[in-house]
Amino acid sequence: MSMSIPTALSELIRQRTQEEIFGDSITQMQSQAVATETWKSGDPTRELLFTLSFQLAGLEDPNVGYPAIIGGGFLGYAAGPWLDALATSNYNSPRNPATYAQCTLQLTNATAQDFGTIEQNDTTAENPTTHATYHNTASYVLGPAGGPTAVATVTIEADAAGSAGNSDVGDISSVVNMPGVTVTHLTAAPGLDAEDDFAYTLRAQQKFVSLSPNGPVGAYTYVVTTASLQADGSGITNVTRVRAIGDSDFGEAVFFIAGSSGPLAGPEAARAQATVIKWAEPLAVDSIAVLATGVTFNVIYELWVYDTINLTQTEIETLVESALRTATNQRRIGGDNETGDDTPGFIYAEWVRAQITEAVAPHAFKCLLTAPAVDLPLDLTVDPINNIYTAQVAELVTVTPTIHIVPRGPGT
Amino acid sequence: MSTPLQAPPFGRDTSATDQVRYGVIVSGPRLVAESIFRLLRTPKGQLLSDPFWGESLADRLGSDFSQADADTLPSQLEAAIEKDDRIDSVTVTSTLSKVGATALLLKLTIAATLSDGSSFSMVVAYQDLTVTLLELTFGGVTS
Repeated sequence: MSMSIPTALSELIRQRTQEEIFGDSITQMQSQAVATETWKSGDPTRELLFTLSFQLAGLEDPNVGYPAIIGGGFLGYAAGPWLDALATSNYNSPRNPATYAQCTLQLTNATAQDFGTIEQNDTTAENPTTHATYHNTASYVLGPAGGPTAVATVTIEADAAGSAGNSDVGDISSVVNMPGVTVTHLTAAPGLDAEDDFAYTLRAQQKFVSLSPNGPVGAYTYVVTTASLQADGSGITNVTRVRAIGDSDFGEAVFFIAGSSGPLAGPEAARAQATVIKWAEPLAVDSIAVLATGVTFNVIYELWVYDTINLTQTEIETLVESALRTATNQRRIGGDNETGDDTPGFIYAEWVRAQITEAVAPHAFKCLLTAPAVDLPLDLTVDPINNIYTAQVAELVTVTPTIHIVPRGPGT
Repeated sequence: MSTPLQAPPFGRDTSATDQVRYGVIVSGPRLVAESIFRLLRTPKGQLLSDPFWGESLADRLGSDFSQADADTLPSQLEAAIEKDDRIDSVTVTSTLSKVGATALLLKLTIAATLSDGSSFSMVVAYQDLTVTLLELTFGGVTS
């Protein structure tokens, strides 16, 4: 006799609604010869059973109830704090934390006031668009206008962790508590959000591979994406995607890196390479970190959904665009191809279309994709003879939707 | 499934007025009377299983509650109580008085005849957000 093996956790768990639990309770009472048909609203036993059914249904909630707790025991099903507990205890891999955005301001005192020495955290700067606030990380001196200390270059740090503290160059334009002091915002303030569940799960999976002498690919990925292992001691990594390709003829292993929103900048490659050399590089191998570059693309689509989705047109557009951006930023460096080997791949147009419909499943029933009209090719070249190492990731630029909300009607 | 026992009129349930009395089972007009009392002490929207159930007046007894308000209550409550199909007819009278300088005391006297011909009467008092069952009588006998 053959036995089917469940492939999804949901196949192992029977989740009941509050109505089902209440109905089952009533049925059980009736089987004990209790006449329940006389019970009315407010009657004690009926309300007791109803309240208990409500509480029990909460325990069966897939997001916070025992399905989530059970899922917390399995990498791939664990989410949120249960994933933290599992990955930390079983894989010794804490979640990469959110970072506080830092940047540099030039402060110019246009008044006759001598501010003297300003202690750490005593200057409050603000991005007037996002209302994110920042404080100075060290003390500095700001003297009166015309004097030798009338201009100071100050490093500030966001008060909020993660991308909430991000600001582009020029966006921070005022200091709140120093009237008469003008601000020149010199460098961008990039803050990283805490690692999301998807990236965290993938990284934890790489932990075992990193322990294997036969798994340098996984080892590269694990050490480069783990904030606490960074060779420079910064405790920060912007790398979320790694694609390592070895060449036994030359004893070289090139690994391309990219971030959660596309290509990264030069210092990331230096930090990644140093980290690999420290933690993962096998003997007799030279590892080379290379930044993946970006290939931009736009999406134009027309979507038909039933009104059962219960969202406005704008909400649907936002939902789809968010799903597209998230999914695009999770595609592997060099794209996907039908063989899965280390040759150039694509962002498949069909894949893009699927992301759109899945974002609003099961309410969508038709999607026309105008752009990309064809599969988007991504480069992946490893040529040690000519010293050419290039790879690309896709960057989604604009999304142009046309949404049709169609009445579904009763009884269908 | 076994056959349910012969149920008394209006079934059986645990006694509950201002608190649940576990192990005390009531039936007949007492069961209905307790149900009506709970109706009168439950604010609408508080019952998890039926947010439209409940007729508590306690939160209305503020400083702006007047005799005119009290005079409109009987007909409103009679209509609400008669929605219960166990009630054949009901008469509600109200008395509003002052307690001390500002506190109000509202007394409701409820006399109901049930669908099986039995009856009960009760006196319910509202004061300072508290609802109290002052008296419960079946066929002229005070319980």
